[in-house]
Amino acid sequence: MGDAIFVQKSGLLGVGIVARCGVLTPHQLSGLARLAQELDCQACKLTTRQTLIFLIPEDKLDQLRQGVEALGLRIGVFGEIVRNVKACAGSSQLCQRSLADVYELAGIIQDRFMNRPVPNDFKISVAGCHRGCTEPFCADYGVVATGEDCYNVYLGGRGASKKPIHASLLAEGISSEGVIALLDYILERYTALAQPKERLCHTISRVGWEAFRAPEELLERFRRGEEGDFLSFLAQATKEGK
Amino acid sequence: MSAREINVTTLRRAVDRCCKTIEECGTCERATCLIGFAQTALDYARTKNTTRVPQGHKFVPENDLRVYYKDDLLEAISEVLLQCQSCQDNHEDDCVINVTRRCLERALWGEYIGFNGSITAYLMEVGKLHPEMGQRLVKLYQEKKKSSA
Repeated sequence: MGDAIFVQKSGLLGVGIVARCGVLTPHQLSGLARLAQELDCQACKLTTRQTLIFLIPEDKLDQLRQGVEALGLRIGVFGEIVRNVKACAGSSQLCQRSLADVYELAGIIQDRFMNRPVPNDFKISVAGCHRGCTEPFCADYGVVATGEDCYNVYLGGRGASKKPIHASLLAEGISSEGVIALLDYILERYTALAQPKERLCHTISRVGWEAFRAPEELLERFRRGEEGDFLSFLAQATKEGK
Repeated sequence: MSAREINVTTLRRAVDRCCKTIEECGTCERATCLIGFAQTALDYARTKNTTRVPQGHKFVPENDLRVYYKDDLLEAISEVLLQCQSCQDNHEDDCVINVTRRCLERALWGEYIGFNGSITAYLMEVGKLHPEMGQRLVKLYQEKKKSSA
């Protein structure tokens, strides 16, 4: 594990740069453009996981590091660690379809968990509605908003490889705090149960789903009770004869 | 789809016209009335600013056997279809549009018509099962679509 720095065929370095869930401010964007020109960057590539790769000569790496940090960004991470969080533009200000402020939640998850060591790479995707633009079913830990501060969590997906795997439902109707607590629990289980360099989907397949099922008392603390919300509303409307 | 994209007020008005009113029914029990249930689902969506009515599609009151006015129901279904986003693979059963449509079709035909996220496929299915009303529904829907364009 380490920084997302890859030597290219040309000898240049490909350096991953991570913003908070892929969102750059104009200040950061113009700062990056300046850096790219100053550091003789040959090209910038947008990645599928919402990061940006700078192709730079090796001797410019330290300058890039300093410049990126000064802009409030980070050099990406790679290897057996929790990766940057892929999140949609679901916030109170942006996507019309979003059911919750997932951008905020994803940012908290990224700040807290990114770079944490795990047996193999661990990818997290967060989506603001069931349309799942960020492909939460293809992530190790996929989060889908179903209402205001109410989420379903899917576990064990993998998008790439010759054998992509769809994640399975792990928890329904939990709050953002629950999403974080459950992630903590899953990372602990994964670390405890996986063989070295074993991807989560393989660990689940080897030890069984039950080993990853969260204890009911943990989920209960964070259940939003949204599933009964409409029925309560209906009962109230019937009582009031509205 | 956000609640902002659905004109809940227009939908509610169309559903209201299907209500047999307390004068005809004697009492008003929303939980056991197809129209009352649809009205409540719409009110819920508006109040919570959401399109999802949790468990809404599971609790449609199927024992409501009253006979409603066909013309009003057809009119309301065409309004529902107009507001529907034809979500295709992203169709969700607990969407307020889906819940409302299910209530109305149950009231009109006494059964549900399968819906897989496509309005076109739905209209074809209605035409197959109920040719005369299917034709009328297509006409109403097209007229509404034209005037809203």
